[in-house]
Amino acid sequence: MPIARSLRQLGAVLALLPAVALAQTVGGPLSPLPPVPELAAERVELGRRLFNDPRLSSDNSLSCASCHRLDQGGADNLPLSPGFDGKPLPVNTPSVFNASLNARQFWDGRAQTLEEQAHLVVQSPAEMGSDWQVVVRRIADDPDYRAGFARAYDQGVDEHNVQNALATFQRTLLTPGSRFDRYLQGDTAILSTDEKYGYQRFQEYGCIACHQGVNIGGNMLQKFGVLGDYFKDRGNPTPADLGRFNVTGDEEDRHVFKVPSLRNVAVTAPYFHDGSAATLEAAVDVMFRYQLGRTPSDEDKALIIQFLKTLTGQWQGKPL
Amino acid sequence: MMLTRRRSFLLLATSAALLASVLVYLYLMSKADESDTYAQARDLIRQIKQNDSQWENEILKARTTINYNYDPLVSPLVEMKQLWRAFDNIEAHHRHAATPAWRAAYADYQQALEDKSRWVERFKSHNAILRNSLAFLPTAADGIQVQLGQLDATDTLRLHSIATDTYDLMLSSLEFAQMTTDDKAADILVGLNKLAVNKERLPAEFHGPIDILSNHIALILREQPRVNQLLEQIEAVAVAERLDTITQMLDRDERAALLIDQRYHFYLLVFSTLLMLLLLYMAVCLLRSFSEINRVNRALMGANDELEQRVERRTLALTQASTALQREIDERTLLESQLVQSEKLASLGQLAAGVAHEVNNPIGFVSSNLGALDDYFSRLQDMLKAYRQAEIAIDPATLSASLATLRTEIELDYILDDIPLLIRESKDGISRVGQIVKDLKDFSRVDSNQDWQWANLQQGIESTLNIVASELKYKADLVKAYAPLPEVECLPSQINQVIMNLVVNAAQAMGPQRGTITLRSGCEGEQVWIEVADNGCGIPADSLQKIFDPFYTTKPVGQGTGLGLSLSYGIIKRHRGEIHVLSEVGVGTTFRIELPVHQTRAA
Repeated sequence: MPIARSLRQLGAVLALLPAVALAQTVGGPLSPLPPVPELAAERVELGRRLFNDPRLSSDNSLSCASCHRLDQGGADNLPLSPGFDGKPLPVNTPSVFNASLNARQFWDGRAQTLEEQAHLVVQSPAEMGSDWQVVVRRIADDPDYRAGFARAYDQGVDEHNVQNALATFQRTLLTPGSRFDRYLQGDTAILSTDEKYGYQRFQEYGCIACHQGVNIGGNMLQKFGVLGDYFKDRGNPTPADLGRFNVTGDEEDRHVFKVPSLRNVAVTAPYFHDGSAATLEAAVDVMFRYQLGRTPSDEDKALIIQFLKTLTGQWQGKPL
Repeated sequence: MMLTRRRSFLLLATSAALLASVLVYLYLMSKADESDTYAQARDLIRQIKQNDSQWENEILKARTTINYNYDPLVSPLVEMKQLWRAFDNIEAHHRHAATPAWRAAYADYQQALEDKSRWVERFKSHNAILRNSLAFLPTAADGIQVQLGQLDATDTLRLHSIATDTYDLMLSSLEFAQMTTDDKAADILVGLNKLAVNKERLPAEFHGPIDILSNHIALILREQPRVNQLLEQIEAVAVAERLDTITQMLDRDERAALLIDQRYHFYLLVFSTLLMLLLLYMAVCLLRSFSEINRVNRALMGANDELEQRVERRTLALTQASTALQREIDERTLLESQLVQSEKLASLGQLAAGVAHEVNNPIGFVSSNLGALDDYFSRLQDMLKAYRQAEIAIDPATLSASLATLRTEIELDYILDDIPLLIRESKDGISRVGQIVKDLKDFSRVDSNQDWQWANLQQGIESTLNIVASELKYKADLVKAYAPLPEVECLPSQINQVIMNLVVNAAQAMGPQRGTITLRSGCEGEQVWIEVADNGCGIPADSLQKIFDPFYTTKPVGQGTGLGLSLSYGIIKRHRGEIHVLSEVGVGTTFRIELPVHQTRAA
């Protein structure tokens, strides 16, 4: 019986091994960004104007671009951006770049589409503090918008179309051409040896378990503090720290957040939903401690950070 | 009337609309060939199912693969939602979403998908860290083994036992990943405890790696059952079955729809046939009513024509009556004028007759006195002759001389010669006066004015000519070519008047030159005729028809009444005779009167 048992054990282990070996040979868990999609130019242009239009906020003070600054990596450099009333928002502003490739929007993943995201932000009493009737009326009162919407949409200006225009514009906000993408596309010489080692460490330590896919993250939810209580250690708990629990009310979702994309990570400090990590080093440290439960060597950490810096892409032909 | 027509129109319109809508309804119901949309819907469901199984494939892949790309676990859901939206759009046309069965099927599927995506989402989170720890486990264990190997072997047996424990724990954990049983879990817990104990026995530098290892093993111990549970939950979510149910319902609905289609096809056929029959019937009715209308129309037209004819007839009769009336009026007027004229003539005649009568007496005694005077004077001549012879014998001579002187002075011889002549002439004059009076009486016939009598027309003509002689004298010569005429039954004074008219007209027709008037007469059997011909100016053809019309005249005002010929015409007609005229301008005119000898007057 013990012999048979140990044989079975061995068999099980052996059965597992090819799977492990296989995983490292197929394709790879990361893929380059797709090309910027060709979308209806009039809708994109309307979306661009709306994105920069403060009339979306209740007191005409904030536009989307106030926080999602396209010249600052699609976010701002504040831990917590101010809302229309000047009070800091509960969570850090994520980058708008490549947001269309995220499976969900917001840190707590409460929106599944960009349209939904726009809808919620405008209504949010902390963010834009407006309501759609007002916004649609303001837009419809503008003859330029009216003409533009009449050209781009059959129904002209309405809530759905305003949201769609915003989302359509955001779908064009991709940042292809990062050095790492070019490496994935076959230009293996473009990365230095250290950066390649960094990628290897990134995989070995298991960062890639969550930060994978085309957006190097963004496609799953994860508990913040898998192998350690981040919030206890950080102190000052806020309601936003509950993460997805605030959406589902499910105990299992306590402290669960969307895994953010690591694209352009080097230019989108500070990090985490609370904006608590001001530097990449700090962020990587927190990740190792609370998510991976491992202690990397300084060298490995430096390599990983070097790798992360290769993820910075380009927008309108210029690096972010 | 109006109301009933409107009501029947409304009724007609309503029934037409009703029939049309039934037809359209049946057509739409039978036309709804939805096999296309059913096929599309089924295809979409099949694609959703495909995505679902692909999803499950990816889940299986994800549970055995480290460094897995979770994008394929996101995309099927996105795809399925899109496909479902397309399906929903198609199904919106089928309208059966309202039935409870369909609502339930929809809700079941949505719930299943929601459950599944929730479990998959959780699976991703748990699986990612589980795989990561499992992958890390050999490395972590190896790290400890290597570290153990580097220790100075003071207690090799114990170290060996610690190494074996660690290795066993790792193996158990890996095995646990394959066969998650409570036994294994208990084993791992025991192993973890052992590791914790062993940790205490090892130097401090071992504490970190052992903590990390035991943390990860604890994670595996925690996460593996969770992952397994999630997989079971995912497996338990019957998305595919829900989709199969929907497919079956689609099939059933399609069959039902097909049946309904066929039924409506049949209904449509029957209805169309009925409608066709109705149309045929209506066509027949229409034709019938058309022919009826035509018949009535024809009758109406006939009646109309008849009416028109009657109107025409009436109008004609009226015209005729009016003409007759006019004629009567004209005749009356004429008659009146004639009456006036004849009255005038009659009173003139009476006057003339009266004068003639009064003149007759003095004529008588003047005539007889003249006879006596003639006789006395011849006797006086004889006496005077005797005195003359005796004169020579008278003595004294002076006396005889004075007697001779006186005789010479008074031109006795001439007187004696002239007196008989004077007496003769006076006698002649008196006889002429007598003749005139007689003619006047003859012409006027005052005594027997309006009585039909047998009269000698020639005598009448002569009398008339005598009366108008003064008018003829300077204008024309009279030529008389009489044939003897029998006595004619007539109104002589009126015939005389006609003759006088014609003769006076003839005289007036003469130009400045003296002309000839020819009077002829004759007798032909029971008819006598009289012609008055002149060689005057003649009558133009266009006037010729009108000369007998009353008041027609070409003479200057005052010279003629325009009644002469019309009066004559009337008189001749009264005698049932004829009066004709022949005329040529510049040559002359001839009037011819024809009269019957006998008047067969009816009462």
